[in-house]
Amino acid sequence: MSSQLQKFRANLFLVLLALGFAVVAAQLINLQVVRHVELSREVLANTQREFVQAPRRGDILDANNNILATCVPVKTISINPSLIGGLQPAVARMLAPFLHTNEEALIKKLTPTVTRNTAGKWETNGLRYVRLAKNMPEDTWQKMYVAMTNLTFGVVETNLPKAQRIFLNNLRYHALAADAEQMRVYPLGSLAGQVVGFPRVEETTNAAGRAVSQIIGCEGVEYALQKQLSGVAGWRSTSRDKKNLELVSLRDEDVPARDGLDVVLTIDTVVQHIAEAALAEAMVKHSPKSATCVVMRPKTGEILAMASLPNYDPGQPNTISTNTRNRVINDVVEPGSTFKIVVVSGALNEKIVSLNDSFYCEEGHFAYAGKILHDHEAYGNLTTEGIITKSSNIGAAKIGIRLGEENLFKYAWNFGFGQRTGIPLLGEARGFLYPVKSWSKVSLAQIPMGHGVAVTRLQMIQAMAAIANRGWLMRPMLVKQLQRHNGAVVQTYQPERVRQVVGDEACKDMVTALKTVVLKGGTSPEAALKNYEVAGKTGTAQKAEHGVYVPGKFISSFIGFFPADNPELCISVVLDEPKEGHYGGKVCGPVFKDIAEQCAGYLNIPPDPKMMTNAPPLTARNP
Amino acid sequence: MASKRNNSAAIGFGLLIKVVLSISLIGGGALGYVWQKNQIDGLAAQKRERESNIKKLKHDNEFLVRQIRDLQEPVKLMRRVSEMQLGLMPRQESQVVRLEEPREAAPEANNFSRQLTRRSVGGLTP
Repeated sequence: MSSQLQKFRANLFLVLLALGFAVVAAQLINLQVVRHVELSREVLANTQREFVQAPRRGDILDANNNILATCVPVKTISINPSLIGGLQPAVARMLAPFLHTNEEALIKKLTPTVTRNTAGKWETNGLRYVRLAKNMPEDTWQKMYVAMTNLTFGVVETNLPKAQRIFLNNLRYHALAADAEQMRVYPLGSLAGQVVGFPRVEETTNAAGRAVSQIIGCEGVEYALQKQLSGVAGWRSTSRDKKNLELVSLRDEDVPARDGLDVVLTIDTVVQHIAEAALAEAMVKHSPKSATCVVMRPKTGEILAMASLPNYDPGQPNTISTNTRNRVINDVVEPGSTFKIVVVSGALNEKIVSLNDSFYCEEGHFAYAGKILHDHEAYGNLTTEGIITKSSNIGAAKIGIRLGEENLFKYAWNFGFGQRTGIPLLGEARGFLYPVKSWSKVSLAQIPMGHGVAVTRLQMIQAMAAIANRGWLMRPMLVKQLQRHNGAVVQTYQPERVRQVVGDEACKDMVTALKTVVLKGGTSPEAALKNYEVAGKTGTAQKAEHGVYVPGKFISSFIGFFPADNPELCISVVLDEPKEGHYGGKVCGPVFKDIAEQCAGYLNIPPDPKMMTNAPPLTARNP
Repeated sequence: MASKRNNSAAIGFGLLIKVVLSISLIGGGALGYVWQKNQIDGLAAQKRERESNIKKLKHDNEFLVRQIRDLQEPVKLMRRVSEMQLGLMPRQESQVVRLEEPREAAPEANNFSRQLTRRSVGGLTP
């Protein structure tokens, strides 16, 4: 009997055990099979975190690796009001000095409030995330965090219940949060500001609901080379423990960010500074609406300085306006007499004229195609060289007539007018060079004197640099190379020849003629240098507004290069509506001279031996 | 009978050895697993610390590089010189002494047979 009872009990135990196992098995199947996807997602969400590793934006450097734009690491500070409870006054008192704000405003910010929005829906001011500051320096953040962790509330915490202690602990260590960001800074302020450009900060929200910002270029090199500067973001998929510390052993994916490349420009900050300082002086002296200067190496097309006043500081957005645009590439104007280099060099190249050919300049009044063309002085006979020396409009018109419409258009086009130069900056204008079929009868006489065409200041210096460079038109270079932050070069840009516009002989003749402009009797003796022969051309163009020329408003210019026979620098100076005097030679010539002399000293350009008036250079002899 | 007893004792001893070996294997494996986990944790902590150190060093390095570049910025130096009124100014052309580079004798360079002779004298050709 007893054995039967034992057997029954054993069987019952077995059945109960089997049932227990069955329940466990069923639950396992439910958890591991039926709800597997849902639960594994929940588990991952609890432990797994994915972080985007922001790339460092590349620097913008000058030709000598001086910094024009860089990034500094900063913090965006946020706080979780739900962890503060009712302790806003104490927290605000501690935070206010770091945030440079008053306590009242901060208390309001830290207190969750529910309001009704315009659509009639209830909304809070941010229960779990309130931004306190942007662009906070790292050391300030460290001090603030230490102050937060040392915060006391005037109670003996060991006597508090456990829940209260946990609350205070969370408040100290988890309420404040800092996101690593970068801030763009421009150590040289407004120097070359329009070339460097300025950025804007675009904000997106990350997975944790926090705002993450990204720097995006808006103008200048910041915009043109956005892709190269910005780099590629990386990511890290990892797990965190209860204290929010990373469990490195459970790190899954770790792809580091690829930092943006540093952009090395051809701009030389010293030359840029010289140009901007000289222009600023000219602005004070002549009160023009604007002043521009470009310094270029004619042999390579490298731009050493590109200045346009008024300018802006990229670090101060309030200084940016349409008035501070880069007029060197954005504005088009009638070039005036500087354009005569096109018609004369074209005619010399076609051998239609020679330097000694004589033209009758009609004593200052020339009737052509129903219009009267004027010279600023009455000239009789002038040679081709004399036409350049005196800048005779009538002489240039007669050369243009001899050259013919097709040839005139061909040379103007080949010198790069009517087309973008291809400089990597936003908003470069093409200018206006109409096809021959759109020309009026008088165009053939007007265009040679720089009327009826509109050019950018960059196109004009490019054309003059071509004369200096034996007729070879060079593409203006602004970016020298791309490199990594450690200095390893990724890509180097080489000077690029566009085409040979005029031949060597014609160029030599042209340079001979241009040298006379700065001599006594030329239009700009003020531009002559002490130790260098200068070749240049003046321009004084009457401004046109609403289709008519406005009396008293001029655009004055001087473009020249030196040493004339082996040019190292080509410099263009343009003043828009100068007040004290308006002739290009008188107004812009001295500015050219000032810039050229300083640049020659800084760049150590050897002087022309024949121009040295002081002690002759020593000559070393072989022993 | 005695041999039977000996046999059972031999089996018992063998079994004991097997059990001990199995237990030590499993135990050793478990201890090894724990030790390895500890090592992984320790190395992970070291890695985290070193990553944090590298980050800090990179940050400090960048700060110093920026500071040096800032101090060497020519435009800022020029501004500082003018502010301090030290009387420093760019050098004048008259202060520069230029030496002409002596030119090599051209005819020798163009003389092919002379070059050959020089090469053979120098022992560069057989």
